Amino acid sequence: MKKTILLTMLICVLSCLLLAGCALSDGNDASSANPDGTESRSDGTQAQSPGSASAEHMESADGVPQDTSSSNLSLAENADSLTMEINPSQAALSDKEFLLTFRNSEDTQFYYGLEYTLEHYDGGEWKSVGFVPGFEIRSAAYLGADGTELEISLDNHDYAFEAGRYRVAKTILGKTLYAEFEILG
Amino acid sequence: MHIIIEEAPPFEEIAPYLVEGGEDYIDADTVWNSLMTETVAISDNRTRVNPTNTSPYNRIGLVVAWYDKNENGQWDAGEISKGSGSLQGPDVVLTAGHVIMTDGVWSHRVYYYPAKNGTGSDAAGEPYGQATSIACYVSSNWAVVGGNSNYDYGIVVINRNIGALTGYNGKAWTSGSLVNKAVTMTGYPADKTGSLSETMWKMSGTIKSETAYKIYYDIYSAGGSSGSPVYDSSNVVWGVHTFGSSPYNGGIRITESIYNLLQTKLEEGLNRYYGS
Repeated sequence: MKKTILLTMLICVLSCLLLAGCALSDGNDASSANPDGTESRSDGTQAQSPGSASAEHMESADGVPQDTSSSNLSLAENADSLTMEINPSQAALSDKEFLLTFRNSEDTQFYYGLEYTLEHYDGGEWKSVGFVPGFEIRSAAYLGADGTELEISLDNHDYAFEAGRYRVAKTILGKTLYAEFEILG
Repeated sequence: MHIIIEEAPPFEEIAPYLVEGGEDYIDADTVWNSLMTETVAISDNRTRVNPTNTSPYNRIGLVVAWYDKNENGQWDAGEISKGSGSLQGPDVVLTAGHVIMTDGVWSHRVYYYPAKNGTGSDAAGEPYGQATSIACYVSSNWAVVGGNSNYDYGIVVINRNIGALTGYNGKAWTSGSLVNKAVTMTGYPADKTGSLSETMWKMSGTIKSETAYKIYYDIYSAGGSSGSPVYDSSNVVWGVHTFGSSPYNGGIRITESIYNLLQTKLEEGLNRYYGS
């Protein structure tokens, strides 16, 4: 009887060691010094571990519930109810900071990015005003609603601003919205 | 659990870094002056990934971070940040730091939807279901108001061994140049709407410029792309998309320290699920 128990335990221990070894050997790291004197390191794309799905555990270590608490959201299906306004709508040449506000006539939410285009009307057409090279706009998306605001600074643009008509263009839910302002001479 | 990774304070950007050929060292100003002469309009050549439950796409997912600012336990406008992420271990998701922490404020909870394919929560929309954050990590150089964008990466340990179902991405760093390397960026841009909401999109391009911490490429991006893996034809991840810029969009590159951190988290995950 004792021999059977010991043998069973031995098999279990060996199985565990084998499984752990397989899992760790998937790492397959390689570190190298390159001919040009640079260093690099890479590991290969990891393959799926066959049959290891049973090792998955669903519990949350900090007791966090699994619900997403999103049931209160009512997402807009299109941008028909959305407009944008910008303040100040009339500014002096010295004014650099503007506040873009989303207006939504419906009680819905929408996702938007921080990217936008600033345009200057040259009397014939709207022309894009470039950003300062290297200026970065984070590429996350955010949940907005009526009253959501975005700060816009002319200092982020590489342009000799002059008196005239300008507008901010933003594409939301597949539709480009505009908010126009004027720089007074 | 929120953890700030203590890193050495960032050094000045005047530090030299490597450019083409691995021999010429020039300073940051020189690179920017060079870039400024270029006028580039990056075309939107993104294509949808469908289905998403095949490699390497099933190792990429939608990341949703919830900042419960008013503590009402519900998602409200101004409380949700959406991005993308890639699986870097059994339960390790690499994303952008600003998705999970903004100006030193942690998100309350992070959700990861591997291979999300539309807004449905059924097997077609969420082939692997969803996972929830157990621990989040950002750099100490990011975890401040106006964090240094050179360190804009985030690591989320989730509560499921998704890697057992999908495998996970390889990763790499080099002190040599990545300029001219062909790469692909895949993620969840939120400018796709209607039936295309929360669908996966990819685009390939070339790394055009670099610093010691960032790579710049001619790949179109939109809000929601943050955290998308930037990987080569072998599906090895070299960078994480974090920003749109001019003339090129860009992200942080996998540095030696990020590589080592990811490797540590990968091994911790293996130990968690398969024993040491």
